Amino acid sequence: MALAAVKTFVAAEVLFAADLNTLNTNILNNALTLISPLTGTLDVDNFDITALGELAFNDAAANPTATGRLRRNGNSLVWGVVRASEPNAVFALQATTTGTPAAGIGTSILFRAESADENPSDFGEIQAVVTNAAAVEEGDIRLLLRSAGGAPVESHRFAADGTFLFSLADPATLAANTMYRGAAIKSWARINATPAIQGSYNVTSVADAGVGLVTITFDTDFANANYSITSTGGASTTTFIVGFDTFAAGTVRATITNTAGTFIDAQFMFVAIGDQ
Amino acid sequence: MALSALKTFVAGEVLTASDLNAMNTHILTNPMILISPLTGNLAAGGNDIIDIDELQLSDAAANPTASGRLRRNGNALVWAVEDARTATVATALVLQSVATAAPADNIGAGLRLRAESSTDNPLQLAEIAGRLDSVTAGAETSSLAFTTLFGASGLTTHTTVTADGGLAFNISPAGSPPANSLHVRAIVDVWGTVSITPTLEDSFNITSVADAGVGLVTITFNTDFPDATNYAMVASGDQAAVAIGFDTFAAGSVRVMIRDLSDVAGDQRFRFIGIGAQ
Repeated sequence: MALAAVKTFVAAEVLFAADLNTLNTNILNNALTLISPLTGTLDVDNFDITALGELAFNDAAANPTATGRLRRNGNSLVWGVVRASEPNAVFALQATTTGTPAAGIGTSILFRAESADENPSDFGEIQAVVTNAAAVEEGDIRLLLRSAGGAPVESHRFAADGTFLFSLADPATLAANTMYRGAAIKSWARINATPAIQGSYNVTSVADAGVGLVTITFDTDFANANYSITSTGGASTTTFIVGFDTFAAGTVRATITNTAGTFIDAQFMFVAIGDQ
Repeated sequence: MALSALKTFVAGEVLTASDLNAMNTHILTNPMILISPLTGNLAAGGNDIIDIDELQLSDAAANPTASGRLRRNGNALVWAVEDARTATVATALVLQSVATAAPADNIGAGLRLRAESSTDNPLQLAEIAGRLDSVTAGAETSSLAFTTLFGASGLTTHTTVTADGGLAFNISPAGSPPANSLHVRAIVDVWGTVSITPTLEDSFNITSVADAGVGLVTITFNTDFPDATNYAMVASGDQAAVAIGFDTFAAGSVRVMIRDLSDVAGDQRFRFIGIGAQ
């Protein structure tokens, strides 16, 4: 405590009202100086600390000593809890509304560093966004990154249904061993001679368009008719050749012929890749 | 400070014990009123402030003024640090979760994100969790799990980034896939290049290839498909005028048929891709 006594009485001294009042006023008017800096732990006894302007942490150079404590350890703000097994959320970010919640409400974590001309510089963000605010709630996690000096924009999304979305078009220069939108397979199927789908992804239906001709309809369409599709026949000891024609964003027709060029019905498989 | 003087003495007044005691008691019994609200910064002097029920931050509408400070800037709680690093990542926030008992596989710490829906306030919306898949000494292995709300299924961990460099899809969604997405059923599960011998020249998720006769090669997968029908194989030969087909489909293997355009079986070098849901 740093509040000095304004007067120290001596033995047999006459006590004046002014001295007494000054003594009293000195304490009443300098309460903060009286207690700050603390010389021991301040026990708030389960009350709140409100209306804080800023909270400054000394570098404790150690982790929290017990559960429910927050400490600065070097550059890290460390929140510690003790619990038994199973991963659990130990830190929650909560953002609600004073109005009526709707799809798009959410909360996020912003990452900042420093660039040559910005301090701080926002460079990344993880957003959790409610996509369905009705009783059957759904949400996703979005990653926002910054490119070429622009503001952080959504680059990837973990959707609630389990898909991983590439939110940006492919860059002009592709990095090695990196997954991009353009490298994601958009449709595949194994189709028997009937024709009927035996196994598939992103195929709504197949239709008999004549002997050796099968029209494939995609569920989510391609962006245009310029996608790539490759095929191989199966479950036949006869050589046949699978080709494609009548390309459209939502459909394509498979053509199956034997080596003599005669159309035949036979099992075949395909894989298709392109922009959607 | 909001504690007023209980009494102001005047000159010539007789000082009574009760006045002095009352003045003293007044201060001793009203310490909170004495110091609250603060009129300046409270320096903790390296000491702890403990047993806090809740910490309320006023909106400073500005970022922290120095390193090691925490402030509210609008809706954002901003923790700022500064040091000499110029091109490395500062670990600014650490979530530490330890166990009261012996730690077991899957222990971890998570960051929970909450918002609000028409029925829930707050709504547990999503979570990013670091998980220790193995707690064995010297063999610790971790993963990062992404969890979101999935309708009636509630919070569902659907994607995991694994320490071996993989991205694991944990659920197989129904319905139309979003455009330009990566889906558990749309990942290449096997591929390989097989010589005329046949031997495996390069591959992914293939245990072996075996000669099954002239123009016939049996491919055995490492991680199997779920059944014999729910996958597709495509292939092409390195030679012109070679037609390649597949038969004898099983969850763990498939047979390749190599023929020329006259329907004559023959051995040839070929390359293949297999895709399905594993």
